[in-house]
Parts: sequence; structure tokens; C-alpha cells
Amino acid sequence: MSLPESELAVSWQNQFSSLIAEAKEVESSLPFPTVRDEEWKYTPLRALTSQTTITPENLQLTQIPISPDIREHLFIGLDAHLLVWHNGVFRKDLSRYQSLPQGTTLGPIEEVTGANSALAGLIGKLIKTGENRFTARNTALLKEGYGLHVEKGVILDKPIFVLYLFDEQELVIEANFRNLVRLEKNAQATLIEKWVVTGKSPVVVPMHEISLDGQSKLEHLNLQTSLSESCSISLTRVEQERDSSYLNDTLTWSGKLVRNNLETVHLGNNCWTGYNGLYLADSENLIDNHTLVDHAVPHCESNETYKGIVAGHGKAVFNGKVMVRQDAQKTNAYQSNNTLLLGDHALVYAKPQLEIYADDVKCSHGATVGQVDGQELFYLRARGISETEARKLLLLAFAGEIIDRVSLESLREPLYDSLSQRLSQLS
Amino acid sequence: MLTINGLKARIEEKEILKGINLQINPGEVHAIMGPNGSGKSTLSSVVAGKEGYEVTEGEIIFNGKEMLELEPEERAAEGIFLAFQYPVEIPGVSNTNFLKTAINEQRKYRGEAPVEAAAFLKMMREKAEMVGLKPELMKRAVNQGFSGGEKKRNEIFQLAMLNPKLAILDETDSGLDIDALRAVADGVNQLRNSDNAFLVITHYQRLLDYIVPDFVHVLYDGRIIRSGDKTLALELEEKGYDWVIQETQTA
Repeated sequence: MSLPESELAVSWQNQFSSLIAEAKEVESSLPFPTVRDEEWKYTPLRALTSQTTITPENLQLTQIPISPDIREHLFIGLDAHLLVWHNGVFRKDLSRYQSLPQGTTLGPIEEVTGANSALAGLIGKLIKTGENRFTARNTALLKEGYGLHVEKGVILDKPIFVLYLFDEQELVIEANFRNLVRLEKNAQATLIEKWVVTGKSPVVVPMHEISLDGQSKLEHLNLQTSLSESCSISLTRVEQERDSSYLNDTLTWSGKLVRNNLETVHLGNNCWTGYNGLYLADSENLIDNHTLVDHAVPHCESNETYKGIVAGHGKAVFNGKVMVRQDAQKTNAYQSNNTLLLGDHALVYAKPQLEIYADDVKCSHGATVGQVDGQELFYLRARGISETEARKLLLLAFAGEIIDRVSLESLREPLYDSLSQRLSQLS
Repeated sequence: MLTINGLKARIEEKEILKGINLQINPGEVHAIMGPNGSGKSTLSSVVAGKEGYEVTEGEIIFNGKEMLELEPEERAAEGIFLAFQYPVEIPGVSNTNFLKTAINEQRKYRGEAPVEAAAFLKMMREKAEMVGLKPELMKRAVNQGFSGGEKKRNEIFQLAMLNPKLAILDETDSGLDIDALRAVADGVNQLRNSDNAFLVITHYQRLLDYIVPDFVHVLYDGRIIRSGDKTLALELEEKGYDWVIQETQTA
């Protein structure tokens, strides 16, 4: 039931015209957050606000789209449905997502929201236009992003791989994405999003609205592993109905300024939420993870593990909020955050934030900040392993715990390789 | 092989080694005995190149090279091996990966090609059997969750894998039951040959029943106060250290 291409743009405009118009109006009245805002206290946005950017639409006018070789950015041995965004614009010709199981809708939002009211209804459901400058602008520029709708009982045969590739050489692109995911009862899917920058580093603002019905299951990987010097401001909001499960793996070892907001709210009993995060900041880079698990109902569990390595003049922020509301009895919530600081100028702001209003719960959190263990280092060196190699081995072992938690086995080795390469270039 | 001349070392302001002289030749086994706090472990740490010690005087010549100028990993690649008194647990690094990296880093230093995967695995199996180390421990992280005995066996296993010219066993017998002690000693005895040498640091004579030394030295207050053959160890076992110390002080 899809419309001819020529009518797509028109119907899209009609469908969301008032939302977009309102967002355009609100945007200009909202300033960028500053360090005076509690939520942005350690994250100055100068690296982002000082840029002169161009939106993908305008870039299209001057550039003839070429076909980049995307093979090296895919995972060997991973058979997946593929969506490709190239310099912020969807590339149907490079994507492969036609052979989907019955009951699955997948594609760019422009293509799928017209006929799929479940996805169309998600736009603006969890993310409000006026929350801040970024949400307003993301809505005002609403155009790119993917929609995934999996109907009742459908288990996706293969993971979905979303590649965001930037190879524009001259201009700084500002790319906004609105991604929508709706899994119906008993549906299951795995989503892998990977960022690759080979040209001029862009500003990217991906936002997700994810709605998980009862007993559905989503694993969601966010691979910020080749962002180069990009600025990335992301917001992921998830709502979970009873017995559903959401696992998020956020691996960040690139980017000049990265801010991830990851927020989940439980709407039904027996939900499970897992967050696994790894961050590696060096040079003058800043990686900020703000997470929230909102235990609003009883009998749910969350398990959060973030680990990080900070070197050079790098800076990391971990703000992990766990809200256990008054009704949320029998909640199990675990959080841990461990950071290794390499060098005197490396910084981490670690803030576990548990707010517990129910009395019959099991909650724990722990945060550590340390250095590479001198005894371990000497043990390795005494066996003939050079200091550089020994450090790398220890850092890889420390970070590897997070990679080992990725459930897709075929991704672990390439991720280890990529991280290992990155660790050799710490500055 | 190893010549230590007038070695003085301290930790912060405290002088621990006050002039050590020691000569070890290929094919020899030397034992260093001495009471607690005499400087035994400091000596092994300084030879292996551990940080935190300041060498104020003396030299450590190993096969013609001054070791004090080399990093710990360079000393290891030159052929010095330290079996630790307290082997460190390293979570996340598998024994196999650790040893393969160590062997290949040493080979690289000596300008040799990396070890073949098949040959490496075969050697692992053989040497693990030799020291009585359960094969499943190889897949685990280095020393993690190992019993005291397994940790010490793992040290001797690494010794067998790396095949150094000089092995320093730093109180390898401490905390071992008699079976583990025998297994460790058997391993060492199988590795002894006319080209390598051992420096066995121990508090008790017991280990020397199994690893029979050619020379025994008594270390006290940062100096070697007496050297002799294996009968010295028996004498110490019988009479304790006090008589040697007294003889030295009155001399």
C-alpha cells in the first residue's frame, strides 16, 4: 500500500506539517543548553555551537551523490537487513531491506509512516518538541530516520543494520534523525546502528522513540566507534510494557563531543532493562552518558554496567539515574560504573543517582575511578611484554567485559579489533 | 652468566641492599636463604627490574650486559625470569593469550619470527602436563580463581614455556603443601641443564631437599654474610640463623 515516490514528499508534508511548523517556531526561542543547566553542567557545547553547518537537503543541491564503497563498514559474517544513510540522506540504492518476514515494516520514516499509523503515531509520543533546542530542531527538520514495526509474534530472522556514513570532504553537515521502533506483543528484533565518518566530521543528532509491547524483546546496539571528530547529541527514549526486555549496548570510542541520553520507563510488571556502556575519551574529547531507568511499576529489573577509559585531556561524564517510584515494589536495580584514568589530565565526573521511593526493593550501585594496576603491569612486563603492549592488554581486558556482553557473537571479534586499534592510538 | 657487584638499593630513604656480590655460572643452582626482612625479595625485584627501588651503587651484569639500564621486559627477553612469590591475578586476560603475547614479544626482541600456532599449543599441552597444571586453567584468566598451589605451578609452567637462561624463584615454596612442592621441584629439575641457571630464594631448607643447590648463600641485613655448599643449608636448618649472624658480628 505504498504511494508512488512523487507523492511521498507531499503526503509527508501534509501528515506532519503542523508539528514541523510548530517546531520551527519554538526552535528559535530555545537557546542551546549551557553549563548553568544542571543536566549539562560538565558538557560545554562550544565544539558544536561554534560550527557552521549545512543540512543534508541543502548539501544535495550542490553535490552529486556518488556511491561509496560501504563493504568495509559492514561486519563480515553478519547477515543483516541493511539501511544506509549517506551524508545524512537515505540511500535506497545502497540499502537492502526488501526481504523482510511477513508482519514487518522497515524503511526510512518518509516511506513508512504514511501507511503505518503505529509508526506515525510514535512521532512526538515520547519526545516532546519543546524539551530543548535539540528536540525542537530535530522535529523542525523531521525528514530522515528509520521506522521499524514488528507485528505480534514475529521474530526477525536477521538483525537490522543501520549504517550512517559521512564522507563529505568540505562542509560540516548537521544531520538529524528520528528513529521509530514499535514491537508488538511477543515480537523480537536486534538493531545495530553504526556511525562511520571518513570525511569532514559532522554534527549528528539522532533521536529514538521506542515502544515495546508485552513480552517483546529488543537488543539495540549503538556503535559510536568511527565518529572521528564529530559532535553527536543523541536521545533514546524507550517505553516498556509488561514482560518486555530492552538491552542497549552503547560503545563509544570516537567523537569530539558525544552526549548520549538513554531513558527507559516501565509501564508494566516484569520488565527487564539492560544498559551496557563503554566510553573511551582521549585528546580533548568529551563523552557524556546520561542514563535513566524509570521504575514506575512493581516487579521490574534493571542492570546497568558502564565502563570507561579516559586519557590525555579527555573528559567523561557518567550520570546514571535510577528512579524507583513509590508503587515500584519488588524492584531489582543494579548499576555499576568503573573508569580508568590514564594520566594527570584525564577527568571523569561519575554520578550514580538512585532515587528510591518504594521500601521493598533491591537496589545497588557502585562507582570506581582508578588507574592501571601497577602490580599487574609489572607481572606482564616481567614476562617480556613491553609496557605499551602490557597496558593495552590490561585496558582491553578491562573494556572487554562490555564487548563480551554483546549477544551477537559475530560482532565481538571485530569490535575487539577496532578497540585494540583505537587503544594503540591513545593521545 | 650473572655477576652482581657491590649492589646497593633502597626504597625511599631505607637502604635494603647494602652491597651484594654474587656470581652465577651456567649450569649452577644457587640458593639464597635468610631471615625475614633480610632483603631476599628486594634482591629478586631489583634484578627483575621492578619499579620503586632506587639502586644507589653497583652493577648487575647478565651475559655481558648491564641490566640496570634495561626495562623489565628487556631483561626478560635477555633471559631473566622471576617466579613471583605472590603471582598476580589478571582478570580478562586469558592464560593462553598472555603466554602467546609474552613468547612473541620476547621473540620479537631477539629478532625471531612469531611462534607457530600449532607448535605453541603443543608446547602448552606438554609443559602443562609436566608441571601438573590442569589444561582447563589455560582458558581462564591469568591466575584468577587459582588456588595457591595452582598459582605456583603456573609460575613454573610459564618458566617452562619461556625457557629462560636464569630463573629466580622467589619463595616459590611458601604456602605450598608437600605434593605441590614436589611437583614444582620436579618441574624445575627437568628444566635444569648445563646452559641455564637457577637462583632459589627461600626461607626454609625444605625446598632444597628437592632442588639441590650447588651453592647456598645467607643474606642478612642487605649483605651476603656467608656462602657455602648444600651442607650450609642443612646446618641452618639445624641451628637457625643466629649463629651465622653472631659469627659475622664478632668477626
